[in-house]
Amino acid sequence: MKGIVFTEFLEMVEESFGLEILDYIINSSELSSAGSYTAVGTYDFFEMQQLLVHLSEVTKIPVNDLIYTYGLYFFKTIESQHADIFQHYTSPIDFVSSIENHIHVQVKKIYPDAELPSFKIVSQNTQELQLIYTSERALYMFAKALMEKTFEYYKNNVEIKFKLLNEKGTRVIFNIKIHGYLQKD
Amino acid sequence: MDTSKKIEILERALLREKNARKKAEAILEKKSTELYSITEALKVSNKKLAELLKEKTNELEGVFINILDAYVLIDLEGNVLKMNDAAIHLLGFDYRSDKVNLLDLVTPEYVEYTKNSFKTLYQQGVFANYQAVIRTHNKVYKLVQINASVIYNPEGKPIAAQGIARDITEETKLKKQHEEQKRQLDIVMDNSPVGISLTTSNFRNIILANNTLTKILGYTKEEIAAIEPKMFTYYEDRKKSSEYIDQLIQGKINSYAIEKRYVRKNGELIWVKTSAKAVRDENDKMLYQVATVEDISKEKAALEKLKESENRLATLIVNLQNGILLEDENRKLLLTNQRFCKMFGLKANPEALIGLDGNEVIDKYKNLFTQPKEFISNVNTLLDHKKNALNDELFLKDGRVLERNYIPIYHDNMYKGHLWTYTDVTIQKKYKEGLKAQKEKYSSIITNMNLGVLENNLEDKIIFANQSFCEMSGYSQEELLTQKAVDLFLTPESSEKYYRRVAKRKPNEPDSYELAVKNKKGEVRHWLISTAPNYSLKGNKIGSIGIHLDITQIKELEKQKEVLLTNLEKQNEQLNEYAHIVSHDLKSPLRNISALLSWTKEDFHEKLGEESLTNLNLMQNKVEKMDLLIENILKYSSIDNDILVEENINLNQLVHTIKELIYIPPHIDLKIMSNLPTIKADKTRMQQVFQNLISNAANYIEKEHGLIEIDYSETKTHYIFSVKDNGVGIAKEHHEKIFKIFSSLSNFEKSTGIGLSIVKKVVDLYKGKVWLESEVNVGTTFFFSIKK
Repeated sequence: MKGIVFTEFLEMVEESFGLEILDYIINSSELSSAGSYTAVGTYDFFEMQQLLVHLSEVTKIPVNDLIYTYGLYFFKTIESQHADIFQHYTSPIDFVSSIENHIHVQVKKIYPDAELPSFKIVSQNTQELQLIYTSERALYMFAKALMEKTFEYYKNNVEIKFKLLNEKGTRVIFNIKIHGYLQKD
Repeated sequence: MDTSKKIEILERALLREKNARKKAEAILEKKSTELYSITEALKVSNKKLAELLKEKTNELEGVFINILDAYVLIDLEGNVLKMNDAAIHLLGFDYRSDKVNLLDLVTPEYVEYTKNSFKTLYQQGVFANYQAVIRTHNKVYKLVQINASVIYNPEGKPIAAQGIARDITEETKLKKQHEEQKRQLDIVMDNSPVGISLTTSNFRNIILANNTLTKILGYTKEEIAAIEPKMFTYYEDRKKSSEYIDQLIQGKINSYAIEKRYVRKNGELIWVKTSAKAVRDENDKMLYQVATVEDISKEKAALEKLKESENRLATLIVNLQNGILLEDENRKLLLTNQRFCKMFGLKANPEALIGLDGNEVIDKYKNLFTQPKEFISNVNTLLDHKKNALNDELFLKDGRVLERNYIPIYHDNMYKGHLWTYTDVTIQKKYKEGLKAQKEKYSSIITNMNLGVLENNLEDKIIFANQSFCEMSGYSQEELLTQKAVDLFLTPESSEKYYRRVAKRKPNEPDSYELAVKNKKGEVRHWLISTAPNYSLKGNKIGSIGIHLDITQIKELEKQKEVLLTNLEKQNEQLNEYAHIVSHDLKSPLRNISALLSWTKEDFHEKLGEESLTNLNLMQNKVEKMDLLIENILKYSSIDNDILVEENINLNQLVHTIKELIYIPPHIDLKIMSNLPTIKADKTRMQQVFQNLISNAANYIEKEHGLIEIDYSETKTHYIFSVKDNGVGIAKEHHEKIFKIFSSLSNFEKSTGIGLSIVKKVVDLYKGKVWLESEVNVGTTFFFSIKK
């Protein structure tokens, strides 16, 4: 797992719950990195799992909610660091539907060893998108948060429903539907 | 949170940050090193490539100048910078002495196209297959094809263009010619009436097939290409076909022609004549087999038919009932048959005569003719004239008559010989003569009979009338012929009747009818006419024949008879009435006399002597007999055809009733032998019959022990009853007489002689018969039948 996911996660924990909680979850986990992460490095997903579980324990917030919240937080990083990718797409449906075939291809160029989830499109039109998320990490809530943010970015009012295709949540079907535009601020 | 803990946490956080930074720096350093080494490697390979490029460019330049094709180097405006010898030759000028811009050479119609091509060239760096007509320095027009590319300076800016030009004027012309020839060939191929195919040298594929072949085989060209050629040949013909092909492959032969059958797509067989030829290269290696295929199924069929008909004809001639002799123009015998030899008793076979001279053959049989010399001279005359001579009759000494035909044979107006045919017409001739005699006989009968015969043609006009008809009608033959009978004979009244009858009659049905006609004198005659269609020997209707009988007299007689019958009926009635009256009137005086006699006997019994009494008794008996006689006459006359009451009668009961009704002396037995039927008839009449026969039997039995037996049998149509007695019997000579009225064979007091007449009259009424079998002193059996 890319280091940026860890550094941003620790950032969020520090911002939201304080340095003490952050220190706690790091100390509680058995981390081969000893909790020192750099964005350009790569770390074991198991470390993230431990951090999430301990955070959930100490904050009494379910793991999936934490992941979702982290997804919302992480979008800001993308928005600030990779703003250019939004220019390639005219609509959020275009954007989301090309994750697999375009964005991930670019990611692979920069990080050849990245392990990426797959987004297989089942059906698509201008108002609706149906896709299947597949990843051993089962971070579908992270994906949901990112997608919601993406639609929001394009000022679309979106409804994203999902259904687990297996118990672990390594295969999840998303039904995305646009309901008009969001009011401009 | 106390400060020390906070510091602790912060220290840990700081440590993590330091570690993270160091790790990041390590990663970055590693990546930088990698990048540096990659860049260095790239620099080396870039340099190598640049050198290689330069080398190649130099090489290519040399090649361009030295190649056979024209090579031209131009600047961006099209001015020639450099050209090789081929280009000098092609364009007709030398860049060293003349300053030429290539664009000026292009003919006007290609200017626009050329400009566009240049644009493409500068944009894309190359263009290929540019074709245009140019006018060379020597004022010759040439079609050139140019492939060009742009030359760039090291900064990548285009500085010039180089091109290779080829004069394709000839090539194009040839190509066009070639195409035209191919097109012509295709037209010839596809319009050829014979199928054409081109087969690979291994005989695996037909690579070309024309339309006619597709029609012959019924497959499309694509289908033909996909099928192994030998599969088209019918399997029975494959062997001889492959033998030729083997020889063709081995080079033993160069061509062959074969008649064989192909199997069409729809499974039909088709006869074809295939002529194949090997196409070989200069080394005699076979390249293709070209074959033409002709549909000869029609010719085949025609040939078969011809053979068949030849065979038939030959068989026909051999088995012909005519003697045949075919000679050529030199009288050499070409053909004869068995019949001819047999006819003239020649022992030789027909085949043995072939080739002989006609005169020689004639010598063998001329003496059979009644007049041999005339026969020979006649033959010679015919041969001189050379004209058809048909049905000449020739007489033979043995009585046979031959009919001879002489038919000269011409082919293309050239006399080629002649045919003699002989037919034995002896029997026909006799038959004809017989027929003639018969005809004459019947003609005279028809002419002389009393029936009028008319023969009409299809238009109903008279074509023949016999003598009797002329007499009947009063017209002569000449007056009748070509007239219509209806016009001559019909009266206004009979005309209506006639046409109504004709309308009802089915066509071609014979008919008989009476018709009142008028004869020539205008008298009305009654004719009975029978008409029937008349047919020719072939069964075609050719008219009608009518037979006419004058029944005028018969008609009159009939009329007279009717009058007589009416009179007779009246008289009969009067007579019946008279009989009634008479018998009634007679009966009452008789009763009076009888009564008076009785009274006289009673009153004067004492005074009258024995003799007188006897006489009085006799008188009374006579009176009673007379009374009975009158009563029976009454009965007889009352039996009449008309008044019949039909009812079911049980005859057994009837006989019993009679038994009680009449007096049968005690010594006589009446027996019913078999159970009698119940029949439908008039009861009174039946009773009259049985009563008369039974009392008759009883009356004439003189034997001590009398016997009357009643019996019965039946046929399909009649009941037959019998009444048998053992009485006196009736002599044969009286058997007929007894049924006549008033005849009695005895003086028996009660016999009136009417009884059997009544029996006969009643039985007649029921369409039966009465007869008897009798022997004097033995007995009599009366039989009578009643129709069912």
